[in-house]
Amino acid sequence: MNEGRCVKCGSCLRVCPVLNDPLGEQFPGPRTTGVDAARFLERDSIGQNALRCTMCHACEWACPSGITLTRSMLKLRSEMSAEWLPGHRKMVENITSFGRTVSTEFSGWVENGERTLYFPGCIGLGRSTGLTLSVSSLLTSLGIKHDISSQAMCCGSPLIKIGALDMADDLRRRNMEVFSRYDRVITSCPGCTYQLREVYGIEAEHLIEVLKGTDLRSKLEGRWALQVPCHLKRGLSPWTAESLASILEGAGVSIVRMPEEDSCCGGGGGMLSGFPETSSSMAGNKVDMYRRAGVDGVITACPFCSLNLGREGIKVLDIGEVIAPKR
Amino acid sequence: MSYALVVGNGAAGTFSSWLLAKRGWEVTLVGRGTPSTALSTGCLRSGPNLCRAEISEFLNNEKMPWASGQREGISKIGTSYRCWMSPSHSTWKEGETPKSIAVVGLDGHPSLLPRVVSAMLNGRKIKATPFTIPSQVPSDVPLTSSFRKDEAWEGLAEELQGLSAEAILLPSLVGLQDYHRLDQLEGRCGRNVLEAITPLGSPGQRLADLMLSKAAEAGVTIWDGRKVTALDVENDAAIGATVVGGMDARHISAEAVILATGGPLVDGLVLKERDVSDPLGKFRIVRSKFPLTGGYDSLNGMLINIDGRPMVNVAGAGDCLSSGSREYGSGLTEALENAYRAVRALEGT
Amino acid sequence: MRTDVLIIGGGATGAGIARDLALRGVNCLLLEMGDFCHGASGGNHGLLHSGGRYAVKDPTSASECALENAVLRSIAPFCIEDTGGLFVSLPEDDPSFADTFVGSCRKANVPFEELTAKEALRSEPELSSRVTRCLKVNDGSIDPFSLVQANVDDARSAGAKVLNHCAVTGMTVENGTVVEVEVRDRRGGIPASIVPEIVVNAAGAWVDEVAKLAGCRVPMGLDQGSMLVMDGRHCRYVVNRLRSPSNGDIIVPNHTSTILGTTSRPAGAPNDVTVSREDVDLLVRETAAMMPSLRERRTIRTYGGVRPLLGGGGRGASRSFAMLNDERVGNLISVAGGKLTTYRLMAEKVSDRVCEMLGSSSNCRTHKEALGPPANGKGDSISAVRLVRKYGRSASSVDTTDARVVCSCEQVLRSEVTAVLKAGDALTLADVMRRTRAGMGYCQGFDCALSVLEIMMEQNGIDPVPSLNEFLGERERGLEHTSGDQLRQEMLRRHVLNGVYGLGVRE
Repeated sequence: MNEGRCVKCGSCLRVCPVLNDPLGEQFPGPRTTGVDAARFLERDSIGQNALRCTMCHACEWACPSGITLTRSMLKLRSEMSAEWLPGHRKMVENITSFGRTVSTEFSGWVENGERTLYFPGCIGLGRSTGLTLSVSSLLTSLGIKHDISSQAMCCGSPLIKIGALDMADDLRRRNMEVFSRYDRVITSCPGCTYQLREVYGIEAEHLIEVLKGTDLRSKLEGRWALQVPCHLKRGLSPWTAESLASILEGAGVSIVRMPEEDSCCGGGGGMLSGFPETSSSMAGNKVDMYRRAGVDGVITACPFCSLNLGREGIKVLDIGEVIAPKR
Repeated sequence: MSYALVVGNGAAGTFSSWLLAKRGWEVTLVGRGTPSTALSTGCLRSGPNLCRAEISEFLNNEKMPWASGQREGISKIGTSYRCWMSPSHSTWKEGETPKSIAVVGLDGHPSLLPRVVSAMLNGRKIKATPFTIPSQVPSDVPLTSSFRKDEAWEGLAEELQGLSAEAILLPSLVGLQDYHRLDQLEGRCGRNVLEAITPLGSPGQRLADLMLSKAAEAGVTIWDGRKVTALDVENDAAIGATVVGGMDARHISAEAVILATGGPLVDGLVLKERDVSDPLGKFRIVRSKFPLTGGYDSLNGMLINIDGRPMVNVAGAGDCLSSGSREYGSGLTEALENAYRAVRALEGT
Repeated sequence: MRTDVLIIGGGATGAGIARDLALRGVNCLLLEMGDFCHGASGGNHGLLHSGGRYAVKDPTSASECALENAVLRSIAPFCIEDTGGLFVSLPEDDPSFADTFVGSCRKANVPFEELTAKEALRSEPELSSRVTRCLKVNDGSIDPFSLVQANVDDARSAGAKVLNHCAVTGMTVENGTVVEVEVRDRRGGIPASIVPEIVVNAAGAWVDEVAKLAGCRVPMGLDQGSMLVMDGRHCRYVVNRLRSPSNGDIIVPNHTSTILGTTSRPAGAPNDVTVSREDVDLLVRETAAMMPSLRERRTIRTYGGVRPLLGGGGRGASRSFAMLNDERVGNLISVAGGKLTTYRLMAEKVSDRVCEMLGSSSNCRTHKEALGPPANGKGDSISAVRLVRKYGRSASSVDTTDARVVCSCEQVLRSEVTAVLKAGDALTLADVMRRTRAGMGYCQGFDCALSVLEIMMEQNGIDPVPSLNEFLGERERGLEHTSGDQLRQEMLRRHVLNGVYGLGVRE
């Protein structure tokens, strides 16, 4: 941890999407939670408001001193003594009883012993099953035969966000057994991808990385804006995030670029389950911006972004749903 | 077309990449973190002796008009701030000091402290009265977001209705997108609206945003959030660089490089104990007694390698250059001027 | 204005005497020329000694420390962190010292427990793997500002009058008695002359200067010690070097920082606290021998204190104390020597003497009656949890419904500043800092000074410019030797204060 590098320039505060949201004032802010708190004997008492962070990495990008604020905040979360929020408790209960954060609605398992595993993640299996089917058929049409394993559980990323490190590690051990049967793991969730790379040490690929360089066509009409996922751009790779636009444009989707397309939707870091009203407020502001631009909807590459923005009543599609291979 | 790599997203990096792009280079600008430019007051303290026309064109923006000449404004603590160029609401023409000023702040918010500033102004024989707007906004919450919506400005205009002073001094509330709101407020209140000269706030951020968007408009490819971790050098020329972003890395080749990475404050130079060094380990550093003025050595704009020979295609600009006489808080003009020199030096090759 | 007892000096000793006498029902007035803890009470490690450090050379002090350590833990738990302490030997240290140490601790009744090197590393992971021997003792870390303020508050509730920023400027002695004392009060709240029955001179390093006002002398050694404040807590225990007391022996975790100390050199005057570059290097070098990672840590600032030592200065001087009664002036008692851990005992002895002189028979109660509650650790923010720790009983006067933070380094609430200003003792930014810790963190007031100033102007209407310059000047004294990230912080501070605001920051 390198919190000791802070010079109090305030750059992290200016870019924090939570502090900049009208409902975000209760968040002690990235500087308190990512830099200052670690120095206190009483840091475990920081209180639940410290969880009002979407882990979007914007503060980390802005920091001129290169402080790994996100890492520091995660450490703090693992040391906190506050009780779990109702949404987080529910999530932990779900994982304990069936291994995923939300109930599994998906039933199209493919367990043919292929060498590639498509790992849709909890939201893909519980909330956005249509997206999962689209991605699966897109992969198939690209000639990538794959399994969708019913044995693969939550990647553990949401548990790390609430400081439940032991439970996350338990999931990792169980998942590693599944992953060891495959040569290649493809995901459609930047959060899962990040977790598999950072914590599991697996070179998991996000769908965008798979699509890059292939000949694609648009299945869409109209003008679309982008929601560039935080964990994709600032977590995995800014180049991959840039590919989101270039792949879509290459396929002939009409994209309207806007400066705030890469700002956080409010869905990450446990915010959606812990503080749904703040997630909703943040998403609402983004949706207002998209509406002002007069687009038909938003394309993203993250199930959390889809879910959170979609709740605010704008059409949101995943890249996996809007393109097909060129015939 | 020639390929240039510019490293650093502050004033020197954006201006030099803009200049190069205008002159037909294909430019990639790599920058990470908040540059010193964004921490500054967003004003140019001294008038440039070089490339004045280019600077004016580079900074020109329809949303935020500039004022230049001998200007004076009020710093965030009420002291006098003199400069050559500032956004129009930051300063007045020297000698035209307002007779009376209402100093407006939000209760408990550090953006502008009305009592401190009024006392300072009164001490300078400017009639000032503090005016505190009730508020519960925590210190760490930036005000620009609270003042993005029409209702907030309506509310502010109503609060300021009864004030009788000739000018109203406000905390910095606006980003680049919302600068026109200060004109609107001025219209509604019928008196001068001044923005306090504020470092580490929206004025500097505004300038940094403006400069970056100008570079993008000129066709510069911007690799934000990325860092050059190694420079490939063959003989006395750079041929490419390794760039890291997130968990990813890329190699980029370049025919010319400008290093505008900033001083030790923003990690452009590494500061260990009381000594600065080159994070790339390639170039000569001039050390000085006061370590913070040390930086890259240069000859006619080109950096010098560790063997003491000037590079043929690597120039330096901005705070990463050694600058023994630099006065704190006044480096923007100098950064722009030496960015211009760096571009001239590369074109000479 | 008359008073039975006038106490001069608002350090731990003076405040302790005021509390002791007031609890015995004695009418007393305490005057402090600066703020409380202005001298050595504020310029020390914040170490609650177990007695271990003095066991070998000064067994009396060691026994006193051991006893008082237990008393303070019971009466002032809020301002003490029960860290425990370790004494560690390195291969280069004289191995026989450890054996002597063990024997001396037993004799002086200083409790200890021997740990194996492995156990030591397990309990304190940052310790050097070179540690050969480790003894665990009852050291703790104590907040002297909070301790002294609690004594002052308690003395006041028992009827004492206590004033800071009120200097004694002269004394009139008639027939071997101080009959009148002249004072200069910064607030102008009390008459310029005091008529006391008895004068207690507890002026610490200034004890001789005060005695001179009455034509007496108190032979004292003045000894300067330097300390370094590192950002963050880097150890769980107080870590001491197990060797004959020397320079750079002690590491104390305290609040948000770790304090490294100390050095020893003769001081030319009570305020000769200057810290040299050599001291800084020495402290880092010596403490890093025990905990190597300290080399990589950020040093925020340096500070110095002047120890008033009995019978000359230096490491050899006794840490014990004495009461001196010059026969030429019968009603002046001077207290000299001693240390923070034993302040209460000193106060008890002095108060006994005062009561004897006044013919009062009441007994000391300071060891039985609590100065404040234990820190209860309840609250839903770091700030809320720390209130009792910083303010003891007065914590309840802070309005916790307003959760706004004014100083983020130390997570100080706005309402803490308001409460402290309402209490009336804090006149300057530095006074507010000593009570709230706003300005003590790594940015050294860069982020909070203006906000605190605004609150002060709202409450007290002070003149901002001198107050700000005084505060920044005070902070700057500790920043002379900064390096690394603190130097980057200093660069930003100068950029803003000097470059943009044009304040007269010293070059």
